[in-house]
Amino acid sequence: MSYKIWSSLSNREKNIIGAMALDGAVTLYYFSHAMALDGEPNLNSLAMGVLVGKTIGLAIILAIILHLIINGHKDTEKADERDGAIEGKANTTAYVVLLLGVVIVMGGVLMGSWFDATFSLNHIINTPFFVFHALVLSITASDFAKHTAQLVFYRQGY
Amino acid sequence: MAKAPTCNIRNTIRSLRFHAGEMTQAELAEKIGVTRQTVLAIEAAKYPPSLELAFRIAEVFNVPLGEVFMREKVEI
Repeated sequence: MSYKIWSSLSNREKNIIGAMALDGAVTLYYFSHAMALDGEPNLNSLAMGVLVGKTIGLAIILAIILHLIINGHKDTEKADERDGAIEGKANTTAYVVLLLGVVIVMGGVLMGSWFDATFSLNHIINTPFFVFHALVLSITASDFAKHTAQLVFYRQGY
Repeated sequence: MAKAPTCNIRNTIRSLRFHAGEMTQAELAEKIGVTRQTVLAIEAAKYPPSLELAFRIAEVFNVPLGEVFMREKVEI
C-alpha cells in the first residue's frame, strides 16, 4: 500500500488494517506450528496448550508493537456514536460468519461420525484437534469479516 | 404496483458552518463531542446521526432542527 493511500486513511481505519494484519500474522503462526505438531506421534493436549499460549503471547506483543507504530505515544481517538454503530453492524456480519463456521464444523463432525460408522474410515474429521483448529479458523474468519465490514462502512457510508 | 417511498435525510451543515464564521469541521466536531470523520460523514449524508446528536448540532448553530436536517422523499 502506497504512502499516499495510507496517509489518506483515518486513524481508526489504520488501526483496523493493523488488526487485520495482526490476525493474519497470528493465524499464520498458529497454523504453521499446528501443522508441524500434527506430524508428532505423541501429540497431546499439553503441546497444543503450549502452542495456544505462545500464540496468545505473540498476539499481545504484536498488538503492542502495532499500536506503537500506528498511534505512537498519542492517545487513541475516543470512539463516538458512529464508531459504535459501525462496530455493531460489523459485529452482525461477524456473527453470521462465526455461525456459518460453527455449523460447518458441526456438519463435519456429524458427517465424519457417519463415514466412520459406515465405512470404518480412519478418524479424519472427528479428532478433537481438527475440531479445535476448525473452530480457531471460524473465529479468525469472523474477526476478519468484522474488520472488513468496518472498513467498508467507514469508506462507503453506514 | 406502486413503489414504496423511502426517505433520504439531507442537511445544511456545510452552509451553516460557513455562516457561523467559517467554522471548521474539527471545531464543530469538538463542540458536539464526535470525531471530525463523523462530521464529514454526516455532512456527506453517509451517516444518519442519532436524534441526540442532531439536536446538539442544531443547538451549536442556534437554529431549529428542521433547518439543519430535511427529509426528502425518493421513489424506488
